[in-house]
Amino acid sequence: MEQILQVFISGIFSGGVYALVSVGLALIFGIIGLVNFAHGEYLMLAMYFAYWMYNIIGLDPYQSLLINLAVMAIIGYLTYKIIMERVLEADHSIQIILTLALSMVLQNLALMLWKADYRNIRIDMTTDTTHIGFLTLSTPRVVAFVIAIGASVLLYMFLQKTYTGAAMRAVAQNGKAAQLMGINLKRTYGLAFTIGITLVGLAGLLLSPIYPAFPLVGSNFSTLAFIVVVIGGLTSIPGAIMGGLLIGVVESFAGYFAGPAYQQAAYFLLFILVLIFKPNGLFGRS
Amino acid sequence: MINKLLSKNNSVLWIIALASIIVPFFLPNRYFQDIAVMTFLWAGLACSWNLYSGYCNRLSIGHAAYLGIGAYSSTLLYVNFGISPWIGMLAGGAISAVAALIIGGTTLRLKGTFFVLSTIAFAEILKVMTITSKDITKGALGVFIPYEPGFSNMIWASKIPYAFLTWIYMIIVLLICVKMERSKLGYSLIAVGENQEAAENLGVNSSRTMLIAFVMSAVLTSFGGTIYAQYIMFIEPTSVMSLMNSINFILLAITGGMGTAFGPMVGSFILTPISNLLRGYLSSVSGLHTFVLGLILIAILLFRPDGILPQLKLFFNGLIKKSKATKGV
Amino acid sequence: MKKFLPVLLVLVLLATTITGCGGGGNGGEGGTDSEPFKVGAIYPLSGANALLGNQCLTAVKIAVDMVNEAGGVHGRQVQLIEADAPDPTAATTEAGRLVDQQGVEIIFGSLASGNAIAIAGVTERTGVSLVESGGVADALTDSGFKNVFRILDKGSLRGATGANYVGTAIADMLGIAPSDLRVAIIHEESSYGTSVADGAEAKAIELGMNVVAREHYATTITDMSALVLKINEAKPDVLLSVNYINDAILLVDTLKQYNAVPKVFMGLGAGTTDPNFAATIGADSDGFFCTDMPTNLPLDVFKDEEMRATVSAFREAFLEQYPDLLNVSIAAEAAFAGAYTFMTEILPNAETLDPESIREAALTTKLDMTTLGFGWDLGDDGQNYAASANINQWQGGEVVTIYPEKLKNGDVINVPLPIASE
Repeated sequence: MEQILQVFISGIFSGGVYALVSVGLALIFGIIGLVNFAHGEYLMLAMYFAYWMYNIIGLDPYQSLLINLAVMAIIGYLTYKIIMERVLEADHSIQIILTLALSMVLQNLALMLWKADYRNIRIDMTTDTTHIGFLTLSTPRVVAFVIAIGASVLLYMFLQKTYTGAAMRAVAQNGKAAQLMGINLKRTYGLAFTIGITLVGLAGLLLSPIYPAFPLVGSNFSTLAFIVVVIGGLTSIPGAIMGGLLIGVVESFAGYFAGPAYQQAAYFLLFILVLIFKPNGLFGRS
Repeated sequence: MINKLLSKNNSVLWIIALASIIVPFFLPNRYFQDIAVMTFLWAGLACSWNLYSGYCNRLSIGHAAYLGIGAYSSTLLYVNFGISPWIGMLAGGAISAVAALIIGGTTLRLKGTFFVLSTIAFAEILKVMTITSKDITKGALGVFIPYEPGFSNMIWASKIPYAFLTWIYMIIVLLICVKMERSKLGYSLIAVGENQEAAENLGVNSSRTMLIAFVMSAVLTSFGGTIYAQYIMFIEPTSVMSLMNSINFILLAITGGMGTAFGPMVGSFILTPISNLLRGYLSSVSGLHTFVLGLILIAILLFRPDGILPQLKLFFNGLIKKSKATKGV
Repeated sequence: MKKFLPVLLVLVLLATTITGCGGGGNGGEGGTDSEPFKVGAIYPLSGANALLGNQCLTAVKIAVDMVNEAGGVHGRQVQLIEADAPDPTAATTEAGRLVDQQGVEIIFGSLASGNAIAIAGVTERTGVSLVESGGVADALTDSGFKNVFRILDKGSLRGATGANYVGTAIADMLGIAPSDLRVAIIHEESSYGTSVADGAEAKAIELGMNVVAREHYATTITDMSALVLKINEAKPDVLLSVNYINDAILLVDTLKQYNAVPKVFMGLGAGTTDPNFAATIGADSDGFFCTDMPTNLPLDVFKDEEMRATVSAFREAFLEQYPDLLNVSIAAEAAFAGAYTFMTEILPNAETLDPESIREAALTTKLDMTTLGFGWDLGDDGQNYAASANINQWQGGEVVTIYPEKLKNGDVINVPLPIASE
């Protein structure tokens, strides 16, 4: 029983990062309706920035948090302006392939500029553990979990309580109507994309003390984030959080009972079951 | 609009498709012939993909699964039981049909992004199954096909027979697509692709239409998988069933023009040689070739989202008009 | 239409310039009048194996430079043509380019076994030699290829060597009879990990050990908690583990976090032998075993003065290009050894540089020592049966060779590991 609980808890904590990666994706999808297959590549960029901050200036990922987020916000905004704004009206298939091509470009740009080496950040905390009763928790994962959930809740509050947030929700529901109400559509889209990329950047930072940066690191997370978002109901922020945690737990149990080779297959299977029985996602509105 | 434009002078495209078989004979060596073989093969594969995803405008990012089923079925039958790949190819097609019926039956009713992601999920599950069923598939070690040339083994020393085989494969897929385009199935499929509800109101059985097209697409892809295996003579799950392979189907189709019989062929004729040559000659900086390929794709998508085929069409039309004009004078 | 034509034009121009300049692009200004001797190198330079692929290519380049400085092969300068093969399909096409378009006589490769088999399919038809110094899958030399020469050990042998040492020496040190010894096997699931693990499992069963768990995972894994909890449940005394570097570090970190480190950790190549392994894990790596080809041997192992100078020059040249690395990676050492040995020891023994003579020279030449620390003695299948795997142990951040006796340069420490769980 203790063991089962331990498996459950470690699943929850690795799910925290998945949740944060997915929240950004859900925001972009929910508000702009854009399917961003290059999402994971921004996680990769943030991890590289964290590495340099650590390696060149000597700031650990937590110390360099704000400056890194600012950089990610700028990159996100530029991506939106240069590329995404041109395909807002385009067909879904065009958007999907465009972002797939973008992920090819970013992955190989990283390979060209920074080589394929694994860039580890080792701070004292990397292998630290926290003990609660008989449970063992990896400290960096706990920190990641807490910040991830905190950031997601902040985002949710922002969408619910502020004027800009309300504007975003209005755009998500009906772009044309919102525009008639005087909301600047393109600016709202730009803001949503920027926030989404900043959030995935935050996920990258939180991950960087546990996992190395390398050109293909993002691809490990891209599909996963999509699965989470679909399970969560595609556009729902709380849904993405719950979906992330659920995937973490499913992965953990599958790894423990069936073996790590089946971890991925397990969440894909869950995904298909959800699609069959609850096509709007576990937490989505029908 | 585009569809009308295309059906008008498919003749030029047919000439290109049929005449392309002479190209391998003029290529200086086996390297370029190899690129020609891959170009034909991928043209056939992308056209097979297009048969469902293109006409119906619903992306499958999981077609590497059917490529894998085709490759593994024929190869395992050949290596373990000495059954000719020609028969194995049919067996692979049958297995793919069953797989597509199951997968299609559960996912085709899903809308948009849900469908796209479900195709990825099925392909990944199949890959994991192939890796873990080690007793049957040899798992990650892959299966090696011994080099024993002969028609019945579908193995040749020269590249020319492979060029013929892949070219015939491509032509057959094209014929099926063109035929289908003008059949009731084709009209229904395009109608469903444009507006499912409207099509249903007109009495189209959309789920049946989609399922038939999906199965056809899977079976044709699987045939290509068998040819692929007999050509490379080594298959392993991580490379045959990779997401990258699944994506390649789409890149070719969209570059040429989705939802047109010849679009994916044009895409492969342009993109397969370019990507191979880029890899061949830009290897001094690792990653550069894929980077350049990605940039080319982004450029096409931003400026020519309909693909290159409509532009070719306009170009040919211009030529024809010009020649008519000059004749008239 | 107006926009389209320029795009097409650029594409065509791009394609033609690339094709046009590519052929002459790779320098190799020969000092002699004769045609340069062309060799190829095919490695995964992009994609998931890009890290080691690029290091291997650098190593081969250094070998070619050294050979050219010393006068080349049969008096001809060597010209190296490189190729990127992230997967077997690309390997087939690129092998075709090197063999048919560029006319190389030898290919050095190829790190991934799948690529090696695909390349062999091309080279076999024309008799070009494939000198393999990275792919360990048994199938490569068990498939009847005539012109494949593998300098390094087979995967199954490496796995068996590690398991054998566990069943004999380590069982003794732990004071546990082999039949009571509980071993668990973890491996990454590519053909590399699978073939090594297969060898280890077969040997462990043969020696009567209890294989209490065998698990595999994809190298893209980001959290090993479940794996470690599962393995820990089986309570192994010894963990036999085949990993690449990234997952090796993640595994050890996670074992430590869950206080699940077994009494003995026996790494079986690649990741656990990588210099970054100990550098990243720190002092806790003291006592971790790694079975692999000999690596970073002390220079005095090389009795021949010339060879000692070569090894030292190679290490220096390599680290100059990889200033971040502490030591040369084993993949690069093997790539260098394969290329250098073949060009300096085998080819001079070939009467002419045609495939038949090269093959004869490769199979008949016997060497006591190569820069890898073992000899050269190929069987008819092209496998180097002088290749051996060493039992090494991390001690103070350095790889210390424990076995075989003739290369031994230290005694075993930390059995059981001080950080082992109770």
